[in-house]
Amino acid sequence: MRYFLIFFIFSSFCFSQTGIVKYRITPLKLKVKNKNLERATNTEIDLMNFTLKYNKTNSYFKKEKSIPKNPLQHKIAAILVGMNYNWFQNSLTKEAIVNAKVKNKMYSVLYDKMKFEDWVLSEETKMIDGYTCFKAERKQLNNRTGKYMLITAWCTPDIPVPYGPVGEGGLPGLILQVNVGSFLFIATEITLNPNKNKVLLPKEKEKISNKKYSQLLRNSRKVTID
Amino acid sequence: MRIYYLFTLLLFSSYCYSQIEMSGVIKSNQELLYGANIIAKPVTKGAKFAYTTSDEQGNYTLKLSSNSTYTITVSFIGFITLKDTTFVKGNSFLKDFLLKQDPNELEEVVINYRESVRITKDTTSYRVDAFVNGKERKLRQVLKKLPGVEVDRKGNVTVKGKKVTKVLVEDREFFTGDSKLAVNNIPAEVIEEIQVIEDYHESDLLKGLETSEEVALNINLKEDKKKFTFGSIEAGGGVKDRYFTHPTIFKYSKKVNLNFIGDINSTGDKSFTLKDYIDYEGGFDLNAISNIAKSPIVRLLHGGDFNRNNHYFGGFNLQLINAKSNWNIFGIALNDKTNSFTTMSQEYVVDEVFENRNTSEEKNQSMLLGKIGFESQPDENTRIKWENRIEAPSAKKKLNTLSVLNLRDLEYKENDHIDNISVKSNFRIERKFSKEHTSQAKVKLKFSRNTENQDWISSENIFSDNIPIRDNESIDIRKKSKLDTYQVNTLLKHFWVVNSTNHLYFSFVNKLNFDNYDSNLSQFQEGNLNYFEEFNNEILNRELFSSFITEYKRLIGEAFVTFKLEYLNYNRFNKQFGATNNLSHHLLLPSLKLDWDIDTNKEVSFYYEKRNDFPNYANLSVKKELRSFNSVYTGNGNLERQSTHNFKLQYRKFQTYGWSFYPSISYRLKDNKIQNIFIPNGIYSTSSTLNFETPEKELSTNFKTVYSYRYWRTSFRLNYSNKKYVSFLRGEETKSTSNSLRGSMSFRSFYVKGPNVDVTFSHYYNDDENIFFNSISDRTRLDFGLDYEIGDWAFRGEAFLKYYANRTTNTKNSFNEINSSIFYQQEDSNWAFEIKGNNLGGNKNTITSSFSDVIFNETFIAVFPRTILGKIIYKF
Repeated sequence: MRYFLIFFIFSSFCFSQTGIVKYRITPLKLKVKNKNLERATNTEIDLMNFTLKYNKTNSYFKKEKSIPKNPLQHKIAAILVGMNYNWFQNSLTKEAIVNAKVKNKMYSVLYDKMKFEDWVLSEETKMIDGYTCFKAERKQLNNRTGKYMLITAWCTPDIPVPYGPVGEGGLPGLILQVNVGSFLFIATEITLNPNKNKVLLPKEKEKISNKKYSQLLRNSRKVTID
Repeated sequence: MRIYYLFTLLLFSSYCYSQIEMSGVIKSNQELLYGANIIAKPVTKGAKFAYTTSDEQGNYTLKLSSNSTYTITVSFIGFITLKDTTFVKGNSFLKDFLLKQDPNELEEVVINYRESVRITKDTTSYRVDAFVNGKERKLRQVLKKLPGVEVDRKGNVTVKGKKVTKVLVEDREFFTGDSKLAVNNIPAEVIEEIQVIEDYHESDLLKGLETSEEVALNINLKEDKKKFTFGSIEAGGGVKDRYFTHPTIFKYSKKVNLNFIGDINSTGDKSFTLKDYIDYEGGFDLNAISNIAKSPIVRLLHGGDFNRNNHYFGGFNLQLINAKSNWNIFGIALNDKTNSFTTMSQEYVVDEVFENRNTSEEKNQSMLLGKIGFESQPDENTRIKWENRIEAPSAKKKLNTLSVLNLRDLEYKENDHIDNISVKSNFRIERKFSKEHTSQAKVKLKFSRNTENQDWISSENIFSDNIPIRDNESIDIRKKSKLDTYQVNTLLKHFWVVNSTNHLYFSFVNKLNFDNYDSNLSQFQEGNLNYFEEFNNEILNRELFSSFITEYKRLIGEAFVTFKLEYLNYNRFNKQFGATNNLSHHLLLPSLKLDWDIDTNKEVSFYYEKRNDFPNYANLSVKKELRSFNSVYTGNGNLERQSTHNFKLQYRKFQTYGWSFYPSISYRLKDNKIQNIFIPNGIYSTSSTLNFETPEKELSTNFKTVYSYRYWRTSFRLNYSNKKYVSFLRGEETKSTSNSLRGSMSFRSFYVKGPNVDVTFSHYYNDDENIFFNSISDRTRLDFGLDYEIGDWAFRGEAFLKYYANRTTNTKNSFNEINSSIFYQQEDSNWAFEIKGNNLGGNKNTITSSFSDVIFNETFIAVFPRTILGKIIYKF
């Protein structure tokens, strides 16, 4: 034997195929011109809580309903953080899905957020709540501005499910923190193998890409066709 | 030696960076795993980090640095994550990983399929370029093209059946926030996006929790207009002294926004009416509206139809924007010189007296409105808002009246002059202590002085016998009054967010209200004023409202429940001629609100509120007051509070395309109602105010349905209301009922090419009944609008027809009006031309009819005559 090998198995976590993860959100910087509006929106964002429920095949990410301090700002805030829809993920097909209506017809809109190839893992790790998390980065083209947005996620292979907030996923483990745009989603509570765990599935509707969805939306608003 | 060391070092380092391959298979007990993740994290510094996923055969290959220690993590969904620490020496090697299945997999996972819920109940955004064709001139025309948005002739905007009450440009209020100024002035081509924000609440907490149907519009400007000056000048003229000029300038930049709107015309158009002023003052707050309505200024400034008008209007709005503070300053000056002519036929029901009254009126109204607002954010958690307003409306009115009665004629002149000045200062500070705790303090100060001089001149005694008037060749009666009002309002409120589904708010509110009213009535005779003692008023009325309010909000499933309980301590000190009349109350006022969002498009809400209204200073007067030449009012010092119970249940189902429904039902019960009573004597009456023990009940049901298609929309509306109330006739309380049924149907199209029509047909049936009189009336109205754009030309026309019939009195009348305009603008040209014609049918009068307890009234008002105008518009 020319090479020397040390071999340990020290994994003794109680892993689980089902779980409920609660996230909160911190605004990093907002692109709101009005200072007062920014402040009010941040207040609403601070009060928001999110829940990710998953099983082996699917996950469901939603904003917890709460009493808004100010209903208007709350709605603006929900749109800003991209949570005007609930997100579904499928671990087998690697699809991130939202159910959205265009002209009263419901569609399953697919987003490219779960392709492992798109992510660049780095050796940087940090411990979050006792879990070793790897840093992963991904660039996403913003169709409106034509610029790339950097998404930074911290995933833990200790919980080997490819899920995360707002459709982000496809990584070797659960995303405990993710920085999407101006917001940072942070896991606050993880319940593994919960007694009650209903994971909602997306409605079986016609599947369209998010590009097609934008196009449909535009067409529906436009009286003349492009 | 040294060379050797160096060599070793070199060798070592190259050795260190040399790549070796670690490869193998990832499998479970049963199968090879495809798509498993393997990450090799170096423990040794400088070694290469690597990761990959396994292929279909479960194979993986990682390129690692030799002579390094690695932590290898292998993970795959459904399996227990494996961690190895491996020291990699020199050569490539094979290593297989066996993952153990997660035992939890064996447990059944129950997936309950349920309808998914969408949270958007959102701000609807319209990207304007998708709807417009570039020929729109103002915001009004753009809004008309958006699905779900309606604009009426007056400039009121409704979205999804809710009225728009605030217009913001780039998140900031446009002037007063009034929709009319915005829709008629903001140019169409600068608009990038229109956001419709439902459930808009300006965080004005003194208003409390009204069931608000408020909607705000936010106009976002095109990127290149944000640092730009734009505007337009419209000027025109027509036959018979008709002129028109309407410049607008909008300047937007990062630090300073400046808007200017001017309007001088004699064409009957008004940029800002006094009704808009009331809206600005009171918004949607019921209490405030009733307070404003009681003020004497509003009575005089109330506008109606007129046949001649000169309108001068100028307004500017300046916003200075800094990082930590904002200034918002606006000033509005307006002047209206109006002439009107009214013919009234009145039947005094009780004594069966008929009167024919002709009045010609000359009115000169002017108003100055100014506001300086300051908002600051000294630190992250503190916000300060300070607002100062000054308002100076005034009105002068000259009336010539001829009244023809069964037996005699009355002829008199009346002059009325009202001056008002009020200064208001509002201060608000808000501080956030933590995520859970926020506190707010507010102080509102107001001072207002209102003086009024009224003067009746006639050749004979036209007044009732109640006034000891001495006969003279010319009788000149003068009334002088002065009202000073001081108000101090304070509010302390604490918001406690217990958790995301429970909120608890506490507030402590104090309102101090001072009214100081003096009035006298005199006869001017031979250079002297002879005062009528019993018409002297000297009222000092102080009211203190102290209340403690607890508000509890809870989220139950998809429904919001808000319960509010107010403990109110009311104290009144009333002093008139040394005699005091004090009152004190301890009251509990509950209210409940329930909002259930069934899903994005459906919602149900229920609302209950108990309210108390207290008699005002004028109601408590112990002396008499002349209200008009034939009406004398006597107050009532024994008046008590009136309480109102309001119930409302409504449902909303909205769809952009397809059917939408908006049914609602409301019920109102008034206990101990404060009501005016009339004791008629021919055309004369004395009135007073009483508390009626028999409650007034009002039930009203509403139904509206809309069908929207891409190119047209049709709607149907039905309203029924039934009111049971008590009136005071011939010295006794008698029961009265009023039933009304209102139905309307409308159709609107918005094709891109070709003519578009807007047709509304409405019918109103009314049945009033008391023991003396039963009046059944029908009102029918047909509105027709046509819009046609072809090439560079735009044609617009509108016509309406009104028909009124009273079955009891057998009166019938009808009225119609036709307006049209032709507009020309070459594409990309800054110049545009318009020919506009109003009242093309040349109608002379508009006719309205009404019936109250004691009077049946039919009024003819002279309308603005036929006008044809040419207009030139330059945009920059």
